[in-house]
Amino acid sequence: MKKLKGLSASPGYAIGPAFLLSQKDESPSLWEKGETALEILNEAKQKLGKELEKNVKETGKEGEIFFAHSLLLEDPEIWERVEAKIRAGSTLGGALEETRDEIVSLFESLRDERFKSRAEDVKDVMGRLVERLSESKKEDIPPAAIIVAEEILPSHILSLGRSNPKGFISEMGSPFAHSAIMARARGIPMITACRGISGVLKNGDMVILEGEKGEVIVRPSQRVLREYKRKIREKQMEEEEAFTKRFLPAITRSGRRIKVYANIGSREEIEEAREMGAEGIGIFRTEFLLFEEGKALNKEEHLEVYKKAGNTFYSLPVHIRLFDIGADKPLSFLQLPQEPNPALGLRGIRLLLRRREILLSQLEAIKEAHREYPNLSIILPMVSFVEEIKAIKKIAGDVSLGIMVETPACAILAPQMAELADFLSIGTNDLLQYTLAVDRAGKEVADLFNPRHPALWKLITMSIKGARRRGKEVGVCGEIAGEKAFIPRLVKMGVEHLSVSPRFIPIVKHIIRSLP
Amino acid sequence: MLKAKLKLTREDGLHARPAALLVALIMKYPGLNVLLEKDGKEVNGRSLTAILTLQGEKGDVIGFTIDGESEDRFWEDLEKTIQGEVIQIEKT
Repeated sequence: MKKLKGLSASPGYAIGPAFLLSQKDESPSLWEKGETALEILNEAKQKLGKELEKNVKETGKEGEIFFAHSLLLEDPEIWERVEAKIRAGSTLGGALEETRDEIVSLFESLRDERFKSRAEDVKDVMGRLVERLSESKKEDIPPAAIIVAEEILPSHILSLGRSNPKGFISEMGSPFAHSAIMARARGIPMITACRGISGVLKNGDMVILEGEKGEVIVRPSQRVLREYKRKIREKQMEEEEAFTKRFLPAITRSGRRIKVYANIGSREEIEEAREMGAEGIGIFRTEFLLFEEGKALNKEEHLEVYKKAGNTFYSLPVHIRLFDIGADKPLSFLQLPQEPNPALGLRGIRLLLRRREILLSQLEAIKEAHREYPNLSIILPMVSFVEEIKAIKKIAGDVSLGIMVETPACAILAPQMAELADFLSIGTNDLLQYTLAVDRAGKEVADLFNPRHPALWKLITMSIKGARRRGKEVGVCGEIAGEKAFIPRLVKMGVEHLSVSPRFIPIVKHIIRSLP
Repeated sequence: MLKAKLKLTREDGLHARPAALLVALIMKYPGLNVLLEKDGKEVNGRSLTAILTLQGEKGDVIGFTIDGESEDRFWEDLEKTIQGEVIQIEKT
């Protein structure tokens, strides 16, 4: 038995036999040179072209990706390079690999993240071609296997669909890659950046995958296997029970009521949150409305969304977070300055105070909606100075005003902040990032992003105490608010609400009900 | 030979989707050379990767040089695409 750690890309448990997808098969075609190599290449491209056409037809909206892939198959920028290398004496495999690396690094040198990420498409198309050329003696993939590969690409997830895989584990790759999004949409657990996994496995080895934790157990003992099978069964039963009771309040055994709110970021989630039993909206991440639309919403569009939220939740609170934008979440229509360290730059409330036109148009819409739906309130992102709250208070009218506690400065000054604010919500993801000085999206330091760090908990304690001393409501809205391991501690420390993704609401309520 | 300057007016500029549609259109004209230019950088219109590396955003001006067989027909076709929903481009 052996345990390995990677990054969580799609949650859930899975148990099954491992199947290793080999991407670097030794194969004679790839060693060919000269004219023969060119002929083999053209034939393989034609076949792949037909396969891609089929993929486009099979997949509908998602198929746009494969349409782009089919264009790459005729892209002179790529194939002229490959051909030139072959003519200069390179092997087919070598020419493909070198060209792929060149094109990928070309993309990686771009500054815009959305253009950058297209490197993945080049990798996918060229990878498929190499796979085709590897004279695939592809053994049949057993059904219900856990697929292990150097990298999992969108085409893998599609082509493996028929064998009904239970989970995916990759040596490399980001949990934000397109393939991870596809795995989540299909409800298949996935772990990326699990270094060393293919070295310790052979086909058919039993594997347990724990999606949330990003943990893999290789060749578990019978005892551990039984334990996980039980865990999966229990989890299912627990979820069913939690779901049937989702509209009931969450009251601890000693009679304390903890409100469970939803974190949302789109129009659709307003309904979903209610359906899942939310007792309010803890954080409405309004900047996501902008990413979705790709443009500045006009006042009417804002108003419509806020009114819908106000109306759906009626007497229950809806905290509308002002746009949390910055160089780390770039918007093409905003023209933000490039910053060497966007997380520490102009973002959240800092940006809004500098760009009044954005702030005022959003605020006007909230104020107008508030006249009809007084359950709406404002919450400020990234507060680190008392003056920031004062500045908004001056123009917020009679809308109540909360703040996100996301910086150590805000937590340390919690009593002063709580004097001005009507409620506090602790955003533990950013608070952890800024407390530990560990980039929350950084691949190299991902293992250091540890919510158990005592410094985080000291700051949470300070925030809760500060708020309660001033008689203001305080809750937690970061990832940890939805995690079984942390909920008991947060409740014990005195939080009054927890705010989580809509789908976690039933289970969070269920956990609270079991607490003393 | 035809030359024109066009301004990207859609929010998604020349991102993946509009770029792919532009390349697909050019592919229909095998006897034609289409070059796209931004900020002095010129690329082959048949190459999706090259077009993406121009990083065309809303508001950017893209120069088109069209040379070869059925230039005019291509131009009409492009204009149709322009006025349609696909790639809104505005002549400058």
